[in-house]
Amino acid sequence: MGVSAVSKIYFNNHLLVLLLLLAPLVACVTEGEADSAAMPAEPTDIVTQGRSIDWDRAGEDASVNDAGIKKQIAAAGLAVPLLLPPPKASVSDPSGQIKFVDPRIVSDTKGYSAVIASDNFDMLIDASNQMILTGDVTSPEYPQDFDGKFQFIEMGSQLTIGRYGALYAIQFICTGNNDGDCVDEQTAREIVQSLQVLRP
Amino acid sequence: MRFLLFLVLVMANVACSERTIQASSGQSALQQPDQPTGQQVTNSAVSGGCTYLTPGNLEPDSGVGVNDARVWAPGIASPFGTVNAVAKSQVYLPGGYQSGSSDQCVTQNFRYPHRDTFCETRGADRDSLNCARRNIHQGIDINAGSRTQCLQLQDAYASITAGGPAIAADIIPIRAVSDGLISYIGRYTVDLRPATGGISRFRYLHMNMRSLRVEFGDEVKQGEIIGYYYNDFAGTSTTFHLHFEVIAFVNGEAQYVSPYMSFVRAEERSKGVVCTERG
Repeated sequence: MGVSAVSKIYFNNHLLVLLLLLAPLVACVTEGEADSAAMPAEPTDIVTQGRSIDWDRAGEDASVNDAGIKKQIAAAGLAVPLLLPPPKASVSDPSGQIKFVDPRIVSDTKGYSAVIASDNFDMLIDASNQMILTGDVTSPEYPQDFDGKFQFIEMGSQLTIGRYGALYAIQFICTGNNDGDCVDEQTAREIVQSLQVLRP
Repeated sequence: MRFLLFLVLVMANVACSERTIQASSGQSALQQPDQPTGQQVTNSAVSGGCTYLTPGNLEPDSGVGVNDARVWAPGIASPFGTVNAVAKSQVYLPGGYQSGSSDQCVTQNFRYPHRDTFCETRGADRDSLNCARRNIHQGIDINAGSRTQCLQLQDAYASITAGGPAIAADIIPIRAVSDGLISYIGRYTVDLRPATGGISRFRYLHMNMRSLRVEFGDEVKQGEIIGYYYNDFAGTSTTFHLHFEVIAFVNGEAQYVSPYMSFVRAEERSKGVVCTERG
């Protein structure tokens, strides 16, 4: 066998190997494209709408902030006024008073979430300048300030309030039992009335 | 040079076949729930496997559902990633206290179709702006894994209650459905505040609370492991499942909205399948 014949066989063998290696790769890429193309679009009739905040009025009502709380808030500040309960809130239940300790806060570009511990429940606050609008509600006319519906939930109770244009979902999560009845409507509303806006 | 080219092509093919195997192995939607992990199955399972019942179609005599097809949380990831997961009742199917059967690990509990449990009847006094009656379930329940993994979890639970390490039950990871912040860790709950939009909380119940991967205030990315699937119910136990809730500001009011179709769509994306609706 001459040198040229050997080269030809050598070349043909390499070409064959190359083709064998390329073929499954092409199939692999094509398969990936087919998978992603098959995903259905998500039908939705909901949109997210921003809420305008009355910072002037919030500023007039604001109390001096606690240094410990200030430390937990992102340097960029909050997107909504900071509402928290006082260390002690007066209520008309037999205890007469509820103590709150250790507010812990996380914040982002739409507001904040806070956890405030009490004797037999944790108070959770979700504050936001955004809400979902469903297709059947095109122009909601919610006042800047309102007290919403009270409801019992999986582990406690909740209600929604509006303050200064921002929305606040407030949950009372029972920590002493699984019944979810540790805070009734009257107490919940009294606690809400005690909330203070703090200077950011 | 030729050898280098050869090597690169071989490696690319290996990577491609690994991806294919992963997409069809025990950690993916292609898994038939009772097959051993890693066993490859046919592609026919991709299109034909995933089905779901119409939103609001609850188990018979389990309450009045709501036909809410809205995807309230568009773009979320499945809390189970590529691990087999099926929305199912925890009360009215085997293992549930209304079912008459104590075996929660039966194979049917891990098979499609997904079935809605939002608004399912429960004992406690709860209401929802979106359900027809009071005393209802405010989220959906999801089974994950397989009969084999369920039995492993039962063994792990027995071991843990006898004083063994909590990590014994770290079998099926649970993941962040979106980017966001961990906004609460309760006795048997973990809450995630999503970074954007009108949803205020995603709430996960019944994870292994002694083996969480997150703490209050942690920033998490979508798909990140936050803990493990379990039966924790504040010192007592429930069936092994994840209860998942979506709480959103809707038209100005905080509401528990149906997570059902958001979950089904998330499953499609996470598993790379298309789920077909059944009546």
